[in-house]
Order: sequence, then C-alpha cells, then structure tokens
Amino acid sequence: MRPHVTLFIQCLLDTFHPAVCQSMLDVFKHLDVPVIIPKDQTCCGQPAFNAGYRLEARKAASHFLDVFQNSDVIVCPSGSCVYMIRHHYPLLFENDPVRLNRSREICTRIYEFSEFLVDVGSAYSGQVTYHDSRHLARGLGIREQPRQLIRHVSGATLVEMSDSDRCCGFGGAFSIKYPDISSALVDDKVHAILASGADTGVGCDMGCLMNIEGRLSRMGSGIRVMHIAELLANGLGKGSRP
Amino acid sequence: MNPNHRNEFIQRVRAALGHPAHICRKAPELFRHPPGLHAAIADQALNRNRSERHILLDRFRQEAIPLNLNVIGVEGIDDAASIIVRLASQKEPEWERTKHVVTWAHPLIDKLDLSERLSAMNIPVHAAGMNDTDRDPFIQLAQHACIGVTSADYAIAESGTLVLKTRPGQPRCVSLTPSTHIAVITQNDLIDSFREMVAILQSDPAEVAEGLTSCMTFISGPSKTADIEACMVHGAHGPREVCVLVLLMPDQLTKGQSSDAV
Amino acid sequence: MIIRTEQYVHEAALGIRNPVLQISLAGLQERLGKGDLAAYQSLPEGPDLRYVAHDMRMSNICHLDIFLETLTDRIQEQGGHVFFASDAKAAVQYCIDVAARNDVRRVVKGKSMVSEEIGLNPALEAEGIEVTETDLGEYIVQLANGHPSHIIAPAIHKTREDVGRLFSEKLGIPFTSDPPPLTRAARNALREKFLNADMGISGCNLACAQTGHITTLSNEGNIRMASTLPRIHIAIMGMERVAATLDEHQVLLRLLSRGAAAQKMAGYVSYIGGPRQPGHMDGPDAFHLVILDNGRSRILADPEFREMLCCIRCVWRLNVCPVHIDIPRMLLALRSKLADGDPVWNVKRKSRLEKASFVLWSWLVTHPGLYDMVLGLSASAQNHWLSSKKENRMISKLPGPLSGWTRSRDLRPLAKKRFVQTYCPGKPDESESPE
Repeated sequence: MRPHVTLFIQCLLDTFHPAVCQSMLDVFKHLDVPVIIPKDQTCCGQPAFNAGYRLEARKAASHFLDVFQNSDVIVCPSGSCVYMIRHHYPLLFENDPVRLNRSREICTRIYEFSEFLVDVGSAYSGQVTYHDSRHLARGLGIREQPRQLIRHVSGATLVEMSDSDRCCGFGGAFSIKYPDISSALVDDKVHAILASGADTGVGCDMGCLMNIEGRLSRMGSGIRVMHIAELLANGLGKGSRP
Repeated sequence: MNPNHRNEFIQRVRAALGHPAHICRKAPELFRHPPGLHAAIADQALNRNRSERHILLDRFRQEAIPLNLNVIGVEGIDDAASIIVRLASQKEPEWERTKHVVTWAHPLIDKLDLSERLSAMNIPVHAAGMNDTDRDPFIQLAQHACIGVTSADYAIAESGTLVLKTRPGQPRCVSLTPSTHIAVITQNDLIDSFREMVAILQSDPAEVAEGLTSCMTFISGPSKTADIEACMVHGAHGPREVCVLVLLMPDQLTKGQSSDAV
Repeated sequence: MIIRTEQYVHEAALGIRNPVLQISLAGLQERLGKGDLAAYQSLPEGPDLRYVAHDMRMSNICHLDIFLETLTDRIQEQGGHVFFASDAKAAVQYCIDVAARNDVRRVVKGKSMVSEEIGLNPALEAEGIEVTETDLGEYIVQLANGHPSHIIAPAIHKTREDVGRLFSEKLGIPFTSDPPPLTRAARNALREKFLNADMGISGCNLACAQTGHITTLSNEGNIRMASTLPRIHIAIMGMERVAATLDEHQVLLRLLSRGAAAQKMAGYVSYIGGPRQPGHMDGPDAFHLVILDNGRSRILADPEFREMLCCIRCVWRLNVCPVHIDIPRMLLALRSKLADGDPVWNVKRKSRLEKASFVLWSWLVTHPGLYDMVLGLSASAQNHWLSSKKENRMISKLPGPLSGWTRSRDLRPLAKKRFVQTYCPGKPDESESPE
C-alpha cells in the first residue's frame, strides 16, 4: 500500500465547513498523497474537557483512540484539536495505563495540517550536505526550499559544502562521451563533500546522485547518498516537533 | 504580649504540604551555596582593573539616562564639593522660604566640608549625629531640606541603582525627603550587577558581620509616578532629582573625563 | 471586596463600554506588555531565567514551613514582631490592637493588595482612625470613594480632567488638568500626612528567609515614607511571598521589576529587617510583620493549585508571567471542579442541565450512527432559523442559550450532511458542496 495520511476532521469543519475540508483534500491531491477518512470519527472531546466535564471528554477521547488506533500518520486541520490530543489526553488517561500508552503513542503520529506540510516529521541522524543541481538551482531557482526541508528533519544537521552549485559532471550522455572530464568534475564535487565533514549527501536530481554515489563507491567512501525524498521518508512520524 | 499563633499556623502549613504537622522540619541544605561561588564572584567584582572600571562607569551612565538620573564624574573631593555648592545655590527651596542641607556622617561626605563652604551663602548644613538616639529632631530637619547628601555602599551598573545600608549617622530620610538627593561615591563602589552585590554581601567578612542592616535601600533615579493618564512625572513623594557624583580614581583620570556639565 | 460571577459580567460590561478605561488599558498593554517581553529578552541570563524562577518559587512553596520559620526567627532576632494571622479577621484585629496600644490616630498606607483582601481600611476607619492611601493612583481612587481598577494602575479609569476636578474639589487647588501640577498638589497634601502619621502600613512584595528581611517596591517613594517616618510600621504579607536565599531573592526581584513595569529594577526597593537600631535616627520604633494565611494553606494542600502560590503579583499573566505559571492548566482544573463538584473544596455542581447535555453529547460522539442522525435532523430543523432575506443564508437569531452567539454574530448553517459521510474515496472531487 502506498504511504497515505489519515485525516481527522475537526467537528466544526465536519459539520459547518465541508468546503474547507474539500480544500484540504485538494492540497493532498495536488501533492499526490492518498488520504483516508475514517467514517466513525466524531470529536476529540475538547468541548467537554474545556467546560470541565472530564468524564465525558474521556469517553470521546477513548472513541478517538479506537477509531485512529491503526492509522499511520494522522493529519488534522485544527490546532486546538491537536493540542487537546497531545497535551490533554495524557492528563485525561493518567489513571488508565492502557489508554495512556495508546494516547502517548498516537501523539507521535498526529500532525496539524500546516505542520505536516512543513515539518514532515522525518527523523535522520547525521550531518547532511546538499548538492545544488544545475537545473534545479539555476534553472528553476530552487535553492532554499530543499535546505528548509532538510533543516526540518529532526536529528539532521545541514552542513554546506563549498561550491555546492558547481556541476557534478553528470550531464547525461556527457558522462559517457567525455569520461575524463566528467570524472575530474565529480572528483571536485566528491572532495567538496568530504571536506564538508558530512556523512550524507543529499540532492533532488537522481542523475547527479548516481554520479556522485558511483564515484564515492569506487573510492571506498562510506558516505551515504540519498534523494531528498528518501531523507524525508526516513523515520516518518518519529521526528520531534518544536 | 499576645501569642503570635506561630505553632498552629506552621503546623497547618506542614499538614498542607503533606508532612507530619508536629515535627519541625529543618533543611540547612536549602540555604547552602556552591562553595567558593560567592567569593569568586566577589573577587572579580572587587578587583577590576582600570579599563574594566571605565566600562562599568559608562554602563552606569547609560542606564542612568532613561531613569533621569544625573551621573557626573569628578576629579576629586574639591570638584565634588563645588558642584554641590553650585547646585545648592541654584535650587529653589520647595517647602520653606530658606534653604538648608542635610547630610550623612560619612568619611567621604565629611571631607566635602560643606558646612564651611555653604556658610558663605547662609545655607545651613545639618549632618546626622553618630550617637543621637532621638529620632524626631533630625527627621524634622530632613523633611523640608532642599538637598540631602549621602554616599552609597554600591552603585550597580546593570540598572543605575544605588545601594544604601542604614547605620548610625546614615539615616534613611536624607535620601528620601529632600527635594534633591546627591550621592557621592567613588569609582570603586561601582559593581556590575545584583548578582555581584549579593555575592559580596555574603562573602566579604565585614559585610557578613554587619548583615543587610535594619533597612537596605535600592534607589534607581528620582521618585516618579505615571498614575495620571500614564504621564511620567518626576518627584511624586521622594526626591525630584537625584545626582550621583562619582569620584574618579586618581590613576584613572584622563583628559576630558571630568568635564561633564551639570 | 468579593466579586461574584453575575456582578463580574455586569462590571465587565460597564468596563467594556468605558472608553477612557479601554484606551488606557490598551495603552498599558501596548507599552508594558511588549516592554516586559523585551525586558526578559535583555536579561543577562536570557529569557529562560523565568523557568528557573518558576522552579525557585515551587521550591519556596514546597518548603514554606521552613522558610517562614527562618524568616520569623531572623526578624525577631532583629527586634521585630511577627504575627501569624490564620484569616482576614485575625490580621485586621492585630492591626487594630497595635494601633490601640499605641494610641494611633492617623495611618499612612503604601499600596498593598493584601490589605484590600482583608478589608483593613474600613475596619481601621470604624475605630476612628484616619487612613490615607499614599500611592498617587490609590489616593485618587480613595478621594473619589472608589475601588482601584488595576493593581499597578489603580486610577487608570480616570482622565486627567477627572483628577483635576477631584483635586480642585477635595484639595482646594485651582483646576488644572496638567499631570505635573496635579502630582505636586498630591505631593504637598500627602507630605503632611506622612509627617503627622503615627503608623505606616505596607504590604510585602517578597521576603528573604535567609537574611530575615521583607522587601517593598515602589516608584513614587511612598512606601519608603510610610516605613521610615511613622513610629510604627506594620507590613502585611501573604504567607507565600518568601524566597529562600538572597541569591534567589535577587533573581525574583529583577524578574518582578521587569514583569511589573519593564524596569531593570523598581525605582525604590527597601529590605526591611526590623525596627531602627541603637544610634539610628529614623525608621520606626516598632516593626510588625503580619503573615497571612486566609485560605492559602488550602491552596497549598491541593497539588493541582499549589502552583498558584508561585505568583509574585506583577499583575501580568500567561505569556508575560515572570515566573511562568501555567494558568490555563489551573483554569481547566477549576472548571472541572465546577462541572462535577468537589467535596474537598465544598463546591457543588454548577448546572445539572449542562451536565445532562454533556452526558448526552458523550453518548452521541461515541455512537457515530446516532451522531450522524442527530446532526442530520438538526440540519433540517435549522431552516426555521435561517434568514431568508440574507443572501449569504446565515443564521442571525437562535433560541435559548445559543442566543449568546447570535446577539452580535451570524452563524453559518450546518451542512446537510457531515463531510466525513459525504466523502467518497474514489471520487474526492464529487463530494457534496456545502449547500
């Protein structure tokens, strides 16, 4: 099954604002992220909790835990519902070890909508350096976006290599037609990576990455090369949040 | 004397905290400090070199600006005395027709010889007595004084604050009831922060022996209020002006430093 | 002064409609609220010192018995008297007794919220004692026979013209609305009061157990006057207002100054440890410290609310609180006590109807089928309330308790079906539109 997200729709959106829910679906569709919306979901229990009715809130919260028990990543378009689940569920279930565990566990998988889009919640341990591929950086002007994403990966430190936007020497058929020039270029790139002290090289173009990976492998280097998607998918849901 | 109800009160507190009500709890460790910490901080504060003391004075001046606190560097006692004489001649009496000045009895203040210097202008100077025990006569003098002259134990650069303990000859009202308060200090009295002050108070043997006294006062600028439409007005109850004369150490004098205008 | 809920709603409505108060409060918030945050940023230890201060205060509170006993011993060694008042009545009676023993006719007061708490002024006045508030704002309020509207800005609801008229009437000065001459008039009038007072009464911002001192903060200098000039000084402190050591005390004092008025240090701070000593020419002959419980030990006994006693009364809260008290947590706990009652606090359930509604609600949200049905029925029933005139088809009038919303707002109608029910995984684009 493709990775997907499970949506928890806040009751106010669910009952008053279906158009907003649809907008959220449109965003996920645009990103090509499949969504699941469990039909049995109702309410996180916040109205009762805020009014002081903890017993009633606990019932609603138990229902929530049951409905979302097997969901992988949960996204909810409401800050206060996510806050309720992350901060008040442990309080509600402090005398119920089983549900306390389940709520703690679900806390690591639930994201507010905008948080999910930006923070992703990936986790990776290491020093990551980023290669600016030519079409992306100079052609599309995309330099900052991948760096922002890397900075949002919990446990990853972005270390810049020198001349990160200098060509790696791939160039498609060029690497086969002019192997000597191509190798000289990739050597420079690899040295820049080594000098940065990073243990992982990340980029957004697989051609470049194959070229760099191939050269590193031949040199017997242990540096890992990853597409940014791989990095982001790493430890999904395990990333700590601010 | 009525009972002060201490026992039942403290027992109620102990019970509220979940301790047996009748067992007196002691915890000396709660009052302990990392050994040597205060001494180390105090040592640093009291042994600053020349340039560090200049930086402190600059900081004190900076902090004084928003407080409306006037800080003047002076070359020596004579300089300080003439500034006080000038201020005494300029100031209008607030409470009475004639002006008079009250001062602490303090080695630095005694050296100013204000009585002699101001007698020419017919401005009487009343120094607090060292052995007086009757409180009212001096308060009577201080309550309508034009100027009160004190020293200070410390001046704290962090916030433009003067620290004054209370001792015989150094009453509280001299810095409180006169229209203008002048404090004469030496540059060595300047310290950086409250953290340094409490470290000195707890490690210097003389300070430890004396304690904080019955009243230790922090003064940061003149009295002020903003109680009418948040409009800042100086001189609510205490002095309307405060002036700090900082005696620069002889070896620290450089050209231009003492030329601040009043 | 006890304000009940109904009264609060009424008073708040009056306050909201008072343009002077609203503009002044907004100004105060703008200046001091933001100033405080900037002041925390500029702390040498950084803004996180507030978390350190929270831990200090919790430790102060958790060892309160030890710190109160140490404070008392020290103050008694320094010649001061300490009285432990279990409630407001005992505290007031002690002040009256001290006044009576010393033939006190006139009292000057430094601003003290705890004296408001125990109702000290009317009690002293009933004994024939003249009581003068000396903080300018409190003095204005007292002259006008009102109550302070803000801890650090008691007269914030008065315009300069109000004060001008008040002073011209009560102090006999020509009318002016200029703050400096008005302040001068109060300075003159109150100077006489200070000099003729037999007794000064102050609060205590924060005591230091280790050294045996209380501290008072002011900017006007009135508390220094009230604690220096009269023969007797009584300080009243809530029992929670004690720090352990001088080191902790200076941290809390700096945070209090920053919290209360965005200052690095309050204009005047006095550490008072007892009466004047031999050779001292001023300061009171007698110093009395009244330590007040008045319900605080009940808060202390409740682990959920104990944290409230960390408060050092800077007047701000939440994001500008200098000791980072978790107020939302305690508000939620308070509401749960009101919702279901609490025998420990002798609180009865606030509303059976509300309880029944939430029981019903909890049953519905755990039975999705019924939940759908009820929402569907509600969506059909709402047509009755839908305004036909409005092009946007909003609800502008609702019955019963829901009318609180529609008094000043429209409400969007419920969707005919919940989104969750209309969503069809295969064809997400075809889900129903809101109408």
